[in-house]
Amino acid sequence: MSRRTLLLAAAGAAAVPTWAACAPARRPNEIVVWVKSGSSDMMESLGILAETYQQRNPGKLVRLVTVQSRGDDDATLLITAIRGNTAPDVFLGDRFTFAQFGSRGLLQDLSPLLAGEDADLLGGFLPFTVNEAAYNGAVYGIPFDTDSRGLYFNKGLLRDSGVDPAVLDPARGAPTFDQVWEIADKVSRTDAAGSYTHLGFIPWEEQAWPFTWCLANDAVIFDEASCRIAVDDPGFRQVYADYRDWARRLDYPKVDAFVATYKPPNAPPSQSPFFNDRLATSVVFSNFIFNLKKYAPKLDWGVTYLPVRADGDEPYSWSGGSGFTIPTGAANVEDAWEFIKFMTSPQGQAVWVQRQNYLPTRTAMLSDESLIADQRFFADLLIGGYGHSRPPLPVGPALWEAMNTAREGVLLGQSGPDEAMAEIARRVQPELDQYCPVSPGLGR
Amino acid sequence: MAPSTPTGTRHGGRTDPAGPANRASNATRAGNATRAGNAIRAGNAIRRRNLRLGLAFISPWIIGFLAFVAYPLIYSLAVSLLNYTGLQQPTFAGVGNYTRIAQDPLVVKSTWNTLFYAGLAVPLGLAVALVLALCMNARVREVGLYRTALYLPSLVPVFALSFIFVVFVNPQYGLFNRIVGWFGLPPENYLGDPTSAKLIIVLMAQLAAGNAALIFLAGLNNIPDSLYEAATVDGAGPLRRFFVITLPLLSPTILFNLVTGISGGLQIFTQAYILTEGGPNNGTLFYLYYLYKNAFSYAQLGYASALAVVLFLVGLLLAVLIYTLSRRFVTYEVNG
Repeated sequence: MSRRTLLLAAAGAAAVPTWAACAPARRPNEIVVWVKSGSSDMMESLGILAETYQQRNPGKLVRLVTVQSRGDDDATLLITAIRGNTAPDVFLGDRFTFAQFGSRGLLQDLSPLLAGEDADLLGGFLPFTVNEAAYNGAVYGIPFDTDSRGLYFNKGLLRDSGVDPAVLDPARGAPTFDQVWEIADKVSRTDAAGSYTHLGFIPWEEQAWPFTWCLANDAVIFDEASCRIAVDDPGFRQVYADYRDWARRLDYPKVDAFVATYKPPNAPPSQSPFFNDRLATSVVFSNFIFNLKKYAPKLDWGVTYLPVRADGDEPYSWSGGSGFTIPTGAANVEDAWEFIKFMTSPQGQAVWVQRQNYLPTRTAMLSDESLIADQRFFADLLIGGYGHSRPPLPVGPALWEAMNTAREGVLLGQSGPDEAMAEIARRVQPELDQYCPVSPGLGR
Repeated sequence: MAPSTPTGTRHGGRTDPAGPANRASNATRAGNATRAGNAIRAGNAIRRRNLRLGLAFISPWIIGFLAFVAYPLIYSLAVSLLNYTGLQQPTFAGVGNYTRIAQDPLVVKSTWNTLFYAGLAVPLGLAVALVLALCMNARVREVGLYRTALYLPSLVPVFALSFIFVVFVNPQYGLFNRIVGWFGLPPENYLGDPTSAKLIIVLMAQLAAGNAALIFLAGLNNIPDSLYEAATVDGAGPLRRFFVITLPLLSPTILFNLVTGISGGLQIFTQAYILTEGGPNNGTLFYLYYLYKNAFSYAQLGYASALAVVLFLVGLLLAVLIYTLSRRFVTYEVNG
């Protein structure tokens, strides 16, 4: 082979991937939909909805793509896709991240699209779900589903431990923390080495986040007037004092070993100490019913209100959920918008709710018994106005992460409540200052 | 043929009063000079052509270096002076991002975590790699088998190894807890404590020691056998031969592995990303992981670039420091 031939061949070989990279990667009328951390079950249900949309709109093609990410605020793939001019047309993600993503220019303001629609398009949705997807006057997403939190209990394990499960009947109102601890103490057991084999209650596992207990304390997290994270609020601080006391009470390292045994990092949803009669109570969201039906169909379980501080205190809960949004740089905005309208319509949500056990975001659907028979308890929480959401701040996910990290410090005994509050302020306030003043009236 | 001299060359253009003989001689010299000039020109042309061809052949590397190393470095330096999310209009921040680094408690924490890791993993890695290399160098028939077995763990991708370690350290089912249980220690979640989680990551890094061991093995093979034979004749035992011959003559290899090890240690990322997500309580939040989170989770590209520039400078300083100190302990020549 001559040198000239070799060089030509090398140049040709280099040109092929370059050409391939520049070649169009999508077909006309294709709607590329990114689903954040979608499980196989979720993708299957979304696939059915996408198929229905395609049948109703001949010529349109929906391509569903699962994107995995670490943490609520991880926008790595979205940022790189937008910068690389390969942004999806639709993004289905955590609604409470939209304010942060939107404020950084990752999402499009949907207001111009809404202006061309029926004036009351958003009027039928639960107000907090709409507010959660908006920031600074811009609407960044349309709510798709929501949820609510409750205290699930394993009736079989309670009976085996000499506890009548009827004490946790929601008809009796919300249990107090003292009552829950009294039950838990009867369940918790250790082996000869001192390791836990059974536990009654772990007040920092699953959905027992600092935010959950903030609601129990009527805590203020964000002070709109001063645009500051309200780390001086007594209810907010009390959460970390409680975590410190609970960690001492249960011996945190031993509980941590128990959790790592029965639910190690990256465990699949089928793996839970609640399913295999190791854990008696657990703070989980409404959608946990889906996992119970699928992975522990024979388990005898119940659900009640989250524990309150004093007997007779009003129940509380909180809700998250997902929403559809259109990222910056989306190529097919027109079709994306039509697809979002279909998915968030009563027909679209009905399929999703029935298959995945999420709660609908349209208020009227919460009363439809055929849709949410399994979730009546949680739907009533929403109807009763207990469905608070996290404050949708431009640093919402960062605040969430800082609160949870501060909890780890307290549980490990490496910091006290005061240090935890100082750490949250040091981590989040400088970032929040860049956006102050933050428009009032968001969240809740 | 008279050799062409500088004198002859110098006189080449003048009228020579010495007659035809000298003229003939001058003509010969002039011819020689022309031929020499031609030869030089031809040589230069060949050199230029070779240079062009050489550059053409290494152009993929040059283009790669310029596009993927030099340009990002300069771009990162420029972005470090901006407030920039990557998508919105950037604003000039001056040294604001650098002053923020000085005040950020997570920078202190992530730097400490990284130094803790590098300070333990690098020297331990050198020792493990050296032991592996000595085993790989053993003069036994099955040495090929040993070399394969010892190098094999280095071929396992870090992310796969991380998932394996999650099972390995499981309090109830993990082998690690079984082993420590033999010494009467109760099962614990070693990934749930900031210090032990870091130590687990240090331990995990040792499974990649095979790469450094191969370099050590090459170094070992470069040590002349005659030195060992002479030392043996002089009555030196195995330990003395190791410390007096092997270690000093391996010092350039140790230096190389040390510099690359520190560079890798400062960039520890994947293990924390998969195993612990930076926790607990930011106990495994390494510098590069924090940089990554700023860039992609928080979309603070300006701040992340400033963190990258600082990391680059620290890495550079450390390398310079090690090379300066290495003059005291590195032996490059064998004085038999």
